[in-house]
Amino acid sequence: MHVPHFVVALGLLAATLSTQEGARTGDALRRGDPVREAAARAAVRAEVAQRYAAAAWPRGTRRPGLAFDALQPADLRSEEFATLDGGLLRGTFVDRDGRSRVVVEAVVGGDADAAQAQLVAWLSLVSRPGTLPRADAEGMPVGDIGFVGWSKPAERRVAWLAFVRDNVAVRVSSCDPSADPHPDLLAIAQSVDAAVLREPVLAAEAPLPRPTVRRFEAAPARCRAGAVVPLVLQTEDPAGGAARCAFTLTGPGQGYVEADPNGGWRLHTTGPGTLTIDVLVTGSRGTTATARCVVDVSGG
Amino acid sequence: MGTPCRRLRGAAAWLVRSVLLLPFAVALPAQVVPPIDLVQTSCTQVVDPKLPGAGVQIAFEVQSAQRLAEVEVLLVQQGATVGTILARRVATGRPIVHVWDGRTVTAGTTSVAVVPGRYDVRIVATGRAPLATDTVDLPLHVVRLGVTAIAARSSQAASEWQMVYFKRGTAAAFYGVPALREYRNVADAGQVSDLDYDDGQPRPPVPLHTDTASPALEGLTYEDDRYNYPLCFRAGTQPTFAVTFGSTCTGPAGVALPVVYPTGGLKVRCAVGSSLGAWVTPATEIVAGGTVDFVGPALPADAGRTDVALQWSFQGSLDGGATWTPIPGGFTTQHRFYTQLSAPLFANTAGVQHSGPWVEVADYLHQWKSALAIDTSTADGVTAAVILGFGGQVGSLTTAIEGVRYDAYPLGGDGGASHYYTGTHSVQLSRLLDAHANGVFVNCSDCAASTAAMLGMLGVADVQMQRLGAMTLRAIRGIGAPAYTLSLWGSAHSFSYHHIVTRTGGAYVCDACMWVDEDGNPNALPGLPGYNVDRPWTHYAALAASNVITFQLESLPTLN
Repeated sequence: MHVPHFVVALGLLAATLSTQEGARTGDALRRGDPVREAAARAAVRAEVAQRYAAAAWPRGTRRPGLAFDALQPADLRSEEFATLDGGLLRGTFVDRDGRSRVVVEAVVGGDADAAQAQLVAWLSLVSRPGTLPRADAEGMPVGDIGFVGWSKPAERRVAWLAFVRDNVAVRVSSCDPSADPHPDLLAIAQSVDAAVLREPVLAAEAPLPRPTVRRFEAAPARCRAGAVVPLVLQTEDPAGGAARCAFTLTGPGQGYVEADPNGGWRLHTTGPGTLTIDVLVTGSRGTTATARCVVDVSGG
Repeated sequence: MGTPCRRLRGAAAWLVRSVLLLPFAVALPAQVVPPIDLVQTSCTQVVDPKLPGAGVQIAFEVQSAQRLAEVEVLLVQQGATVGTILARRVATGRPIVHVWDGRTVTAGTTSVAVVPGRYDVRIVATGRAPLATDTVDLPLHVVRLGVTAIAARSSQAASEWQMVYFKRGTAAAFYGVPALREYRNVADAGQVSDLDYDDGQPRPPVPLHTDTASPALEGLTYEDDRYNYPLCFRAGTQPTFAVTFGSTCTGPAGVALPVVYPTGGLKVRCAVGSSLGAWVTPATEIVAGGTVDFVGPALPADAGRTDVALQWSFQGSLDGGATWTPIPGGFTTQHRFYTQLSAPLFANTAGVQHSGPWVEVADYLHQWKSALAIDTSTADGVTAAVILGFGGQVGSLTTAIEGVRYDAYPLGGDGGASHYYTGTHSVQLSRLLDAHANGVFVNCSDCAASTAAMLGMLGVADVQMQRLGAMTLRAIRGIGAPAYTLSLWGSAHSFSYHHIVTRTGGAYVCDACMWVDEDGNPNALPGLPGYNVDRPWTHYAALAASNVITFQLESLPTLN
């Protein structure tokens, strides 16, 4: 393969100018340097925020969140609701054939700045240079501030809409904007916006209501591998609704957590070792709480 | 296995008597009866009639001067006849070999099931004119043999890892394969025995669980009594199977029965063969309900998938282990081994609680390395298989992974937004491998985070993500795209940022999201595929973009 000399020279210059990691290897490399990486991401987002003039975005008030798990776009049915790292809520909606058509993501921030930071994070992961059009400028009023990811602008096909309403950031995406019938993403986004607006405005000094975990423990906390151990989990939702729970298990012990027929939770141990169980509780308004318990699993 | 006749009499003795006593024939006419004699008798000593290929071989020969001698074979227990194995018939005078299935005998007009226990096979030869008989009893142990559980273990330190699934049926759920026993074949709730169904039919070996997304289910819950999960071992190591043998079977009335071994007079041992070679056990015998280790031959030295059929056979000894003879029949179990070069690496779980769609990733590696004929005995090979396989559209791989396409307007997407990589440096890999549940379009971050996570799961060390700054692109071909382009967005042709993967701190890079153009003129179409597998950074930067590219190294992404 022939590569022009000037091209190689530019590449070498780039390599020289690039940030180098040094000689770290193994676990340190895999886990990275969280502080340095966070700083780097913050720098990227600061640039994106500046590019989008985020400082001038209107800032709304604070609300308890939204009834995320109750979202129900027309002609679609919910397939699953999940909560990911950083409190990112994800709802997937499928058509009558079971095909994923729309994904709705949301983050309930502590305030409008936090929600807008999430919007910037989404924008920072757009590969196309420049800026995306504002939703209101495209005739799509939604949220305090929003942006549109067009698929085929001439056909008014929206690939995704991201917006912030008060302290809630939302992104509504089509799973395949080239497929027909194209879901009405604006209508879905506006219905999510309305769900936020249905919540009362919080008092200025009031903390963001979050679910609480009153009790989380395994009973017993010691068992032999193969045992099925009930988990005592008592949660309280600030809106009086039902909390959704997700469990992450960290070894060296092995196991998984399953709901029992009575609505409780059970740890199924499958391998010996200490097992740390983290529960992520998502309240009915999309705010979260975490708790941890440890189970000592001996050889089966 | 047979027992020879335990005595000598009959025809030979008659010959002696006839010759020696001939001078006294006048005096003893009524006492000289033409004898009937059973010779060359043998019979299988131990049988499990429910093993495939099992049977009781009964051999004998009737020697008699009588032309109408008859013979029959009976099953006898503690002196009492259980039933007829071979109905009375004329003895031909030639050797007779009868193979009986060992499962039923005839009593009158009814069929009687044979249950495990100690029996005698009684061969009775009868002369009718005048009356003479010869009877031989040969011992027969009826047992029931089978495997109820197998736990895979490391023969060397830290060389076996539990695999996990990311779905339960159609719903997202984490499931860790039971480390206590990856193979299990026992009574379902309410059934009476582990080795047989309630109608007495043998419970067959469990077929391989080949679904890579969801574990075995029983209705809405996880299957807990009958499963056969794939295993993951370090390449080139010898797996150990801790094998538990069943202790209960089902009798004709649907009741649980013991398998009746070992007994005071019977020992049983087990042998395991496979296409990879024999499995070795230090155990001198097996016992009902007991567990014995078998160490297998070395697994392939490369990363991938190997299906191995294990042939189980048994031997019995009636002399305390001095001599062993085969127990007829046997069975075969199928086992799937995924091999990796090193322990799986996960960013968010310290590599110990294995997570994510690991089985699916391991299977993808096998598919890709097979399709592309890549040697995966090194980390370089594994990396090449993952990067080339993920991007697809090479060799026999007609599409990118899960059929995804680059998120660009001309391909029906948008401006290159991420759909699987999140702002918290995590990737929804399970969603991508679930028929691209978050959408068919991916951007560079989605590809880089996914391939980085997959390489880590496959044990490739030092994998990092590498976030690049703005790029003024040359000719590229995006993942899932039909051709090279110089107008990625329909008009503009540049990136605000880009994400790739490195395992050398940025010196060499991998990019499954796009190919560069290697035809010597990277600023023009058409393009010549330039796959980015451990490509020197300077080379990559030069071919991908015309500007100076800055980059920032990032850790392995977490899984969401």
